[in-house]
Amino acid sequence: MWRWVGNEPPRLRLLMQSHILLLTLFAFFVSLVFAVIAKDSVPEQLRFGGLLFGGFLLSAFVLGWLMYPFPL
Amino acid sequence: MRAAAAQETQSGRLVLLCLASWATPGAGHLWLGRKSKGLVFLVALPAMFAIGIGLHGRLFPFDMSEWLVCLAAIADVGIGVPYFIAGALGFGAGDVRAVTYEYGNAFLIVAGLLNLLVVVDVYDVALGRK
Repeated sequence: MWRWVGNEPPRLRLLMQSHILLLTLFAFFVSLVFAVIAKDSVPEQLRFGGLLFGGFLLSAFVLGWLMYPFPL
Repeated sequence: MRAAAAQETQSGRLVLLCLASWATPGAGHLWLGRKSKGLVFLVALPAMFAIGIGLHGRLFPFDMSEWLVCLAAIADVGIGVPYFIAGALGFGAGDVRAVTYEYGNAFLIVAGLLNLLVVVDVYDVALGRK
């Protein structure tokens, strides 16, 4: 999942190779910011953010499987 | 006369507020006393930007001949000061050979766009719409 690239990099060069992890991280941040912008109370933010996060993940999996037969 | 001056002060404050919110993600909300929201933006958006840089994403230049690149540059600049700091430190050159290059671009562009959304939210809050 994580791999260091290079021997002694001048700066931190970290290569993340897990697509699922990157997708999840992206969905988390976007859901977090949307939820905090759209809702004012914490319970509402949690519910809305959770819905968004789940929706992002679910749609990614569904779209991924729908694209599976195509040689793209 | 006094009402016009007050309105001018108000609009000047609004511009300053929006500029602060753009330059430092979350600063506008912190200024308006919405501390928890401001802190979330202050942490989440620069973190997203930093992850984008770490994934070898590219900070796109303002190339007017390539309008898609130009649009991406506008989105990148949306994050504010971190964009200029990263550029000054030599980050954001982008490595198209890296497997995570497109992921990095997605993180950088979306972080900038989300910060612009935060600026709009600050504007609405300052006007009492929210």
